Amino acid sequence: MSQEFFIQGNEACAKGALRAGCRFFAGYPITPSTEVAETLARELPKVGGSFVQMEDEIASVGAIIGGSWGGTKSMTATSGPGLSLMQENIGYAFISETPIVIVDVQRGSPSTGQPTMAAQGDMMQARWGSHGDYEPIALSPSSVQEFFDFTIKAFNLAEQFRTPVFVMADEIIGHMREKIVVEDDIEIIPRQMPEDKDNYLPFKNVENGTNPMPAFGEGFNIHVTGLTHDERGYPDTNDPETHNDLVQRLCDKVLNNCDKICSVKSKSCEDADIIIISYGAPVRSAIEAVSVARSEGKKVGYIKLDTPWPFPEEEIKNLSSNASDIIVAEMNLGQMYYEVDRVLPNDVNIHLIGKIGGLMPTPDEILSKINEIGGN
Amino acid sequence: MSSDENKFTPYMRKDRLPHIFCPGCGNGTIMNAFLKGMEKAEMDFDNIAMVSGIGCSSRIPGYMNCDSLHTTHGRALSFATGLKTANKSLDVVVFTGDGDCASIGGNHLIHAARRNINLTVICINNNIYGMTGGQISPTSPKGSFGTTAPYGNQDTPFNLAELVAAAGATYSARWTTIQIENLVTSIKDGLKNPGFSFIEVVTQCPTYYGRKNKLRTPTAMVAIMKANTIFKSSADRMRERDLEGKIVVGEFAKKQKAEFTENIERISEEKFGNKTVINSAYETEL
Amino acid sequence: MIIIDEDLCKGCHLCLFMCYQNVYAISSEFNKKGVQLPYVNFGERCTNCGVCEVICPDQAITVDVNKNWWVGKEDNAFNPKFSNGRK
Repeated sequence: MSQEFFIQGNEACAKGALRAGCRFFAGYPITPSTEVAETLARELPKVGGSFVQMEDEIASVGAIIGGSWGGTKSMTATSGPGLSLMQENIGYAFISETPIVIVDVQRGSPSTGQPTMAAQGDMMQARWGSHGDYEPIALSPSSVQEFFDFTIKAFNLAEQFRTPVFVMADEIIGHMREKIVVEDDIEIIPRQMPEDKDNYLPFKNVENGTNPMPAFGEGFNIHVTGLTHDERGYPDTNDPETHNDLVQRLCDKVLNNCDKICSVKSKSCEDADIIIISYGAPVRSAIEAVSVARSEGKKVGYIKLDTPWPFPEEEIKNLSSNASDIIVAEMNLGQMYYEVDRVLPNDVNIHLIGKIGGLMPTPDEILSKINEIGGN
Repeated sequence: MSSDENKFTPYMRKDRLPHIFCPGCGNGTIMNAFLKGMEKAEMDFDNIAMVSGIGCSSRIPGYMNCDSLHTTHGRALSFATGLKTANKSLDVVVFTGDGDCASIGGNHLIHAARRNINLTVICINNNIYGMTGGQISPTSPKGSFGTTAPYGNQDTPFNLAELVAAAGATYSARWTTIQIENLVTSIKDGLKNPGFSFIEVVTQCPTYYGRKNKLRTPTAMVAIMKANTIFKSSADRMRERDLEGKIVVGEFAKKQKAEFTENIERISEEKFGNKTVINSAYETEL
Repeated sequence: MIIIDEDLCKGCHLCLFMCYQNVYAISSEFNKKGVQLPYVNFGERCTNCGVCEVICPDQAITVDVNKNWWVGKEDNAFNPKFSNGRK
């Protein structure tokens, strides 16, 4: 059985969060993500959850980290300026291995920019925004259905890897209305309570699988800190080895599981000379451009990045092994473009369609680029 | 328990003692006073969760044998708000300092007080930034010296207990580390108060404040503190210029008001029935 | 009876300052940490008020628990609710 809804992207995100078991939301109003907060303010009390409108974004992400250690799946939603404010505490969530979900409905930037227009300018902010070395997980939906699905997936990944997960949507997806189908049996990954109170180490290296995470008040008496800490959580700030082990483990946790996390969707790449790589709203233009180009007999395919972070290097290398030209279509002046450039060999020509101003690259723009390259 | 065992160390992470605080630092005293106040309030220590920010004072939860969250600079109150809202049954205590809660975390402080969320905040006010090496803080008295005020501090300090009382806290008090009995009783009252409780403890920092202000030993600092302390009841009858440089101690707010998490629960229960699940993240089906 | 833990004491001498019966005195010798430890000079004057116990920032002083006014009559058992992390 399944249910169908015709709803807005931001509402679908809120719906997905509730389905995934989110029972605590702290946020601050910011266009174009406010509908996520508004929907959850209405819906959370109905299921016994809590909604708090905090005093700013810094406090919002602080509150959801606190909520997560309080034994509740927690989320916040924001846009570019808010994400900038959140960065310090996002770094804290990484080092303290706290599962949280941060939804970023991107808008024209930098600074206040274009509050009501779409952009994809925060991709590198999600990657490198906080200080220090860490490996984020980010999902990028390109339809309302995916906004729903990816929010659930974000909660699952957060619990699985005990790490913050970003959902990098954009204003187009956030404010678009589409039909979504909600299946009855969706996989939800619950948190694991550790069993052995005496020998439990909250920050231990677990090779395969998740180190269980206790909630506060259950008698584990754990110390959670943003300082460099050992397996027990006790600060140990002067030992180079402890710091190296900790940060390396936090990065490896994601990098060694790329095969489980990374996901791309692609079409007709096997024989393609030209491949369009995109994520988020521009994927919709890429799909249209590929179908038009194919009908004209041109060998064109597309790759859609479901998870921009960690960057799906292997998948892109494999899928584009026969291509001579790659077009990266995104709504910024080239962010993922350089990632693609880094991954692919030098003899592949990489072209950028970087469109800013609030509108996404159109199929015509992509097609004229294809013609310019001279696909046949 | 044998009578020769120290009364406070059973509550502490003994493997981490002695703690990092300088000789004569008031933080250790405040740890003791908190534990005494907690015993007197007949609280369950296992149900206490401690949250702190950054600074000397914020290292305290790391030495306490309970669930503790040592967070980013100034944000302790926002983490505590989330923790308390997510699990209303926890007794959340926040240890913070003057730089932590009055400077970088000032916004969170007044908003937590405005919400009247059931937290007990113990603000350890040593009038200086100790951990970074003696810079002046928003509570440094006028004319005091710090590494960033080599010619004397020209700014007017914050009166934190009054500020928090004005922002809507239901319990606000100020004591110093030498009025131990009052401090313990105040911490007990704060823990029992079902709302935002703020206890400012003026303390000595002989290492930095003392060194910069010609009060090098802990006992010299404490003696000056004792001489400058005035009870609120007397201070109310004094002129403002006579109060300059004095530490006014006493209770600045003690009232009852609807509590934040109770409000959330009440609305949810009245309209939709009691559906709250504690530790809901561990449930497969909700 | 007063017990001073020599490993924990950092030599701030607040006990000396706070004791209104002047029970304590300071040792003239330095121990291996370079601390001049306080010692109980006039133990018979002690009223078990417990102020030194609470003021000691390093949890180094213990005063006889049964006569201590900090511990009320009922809670002599030292906070029975505390399970030392074994809830």
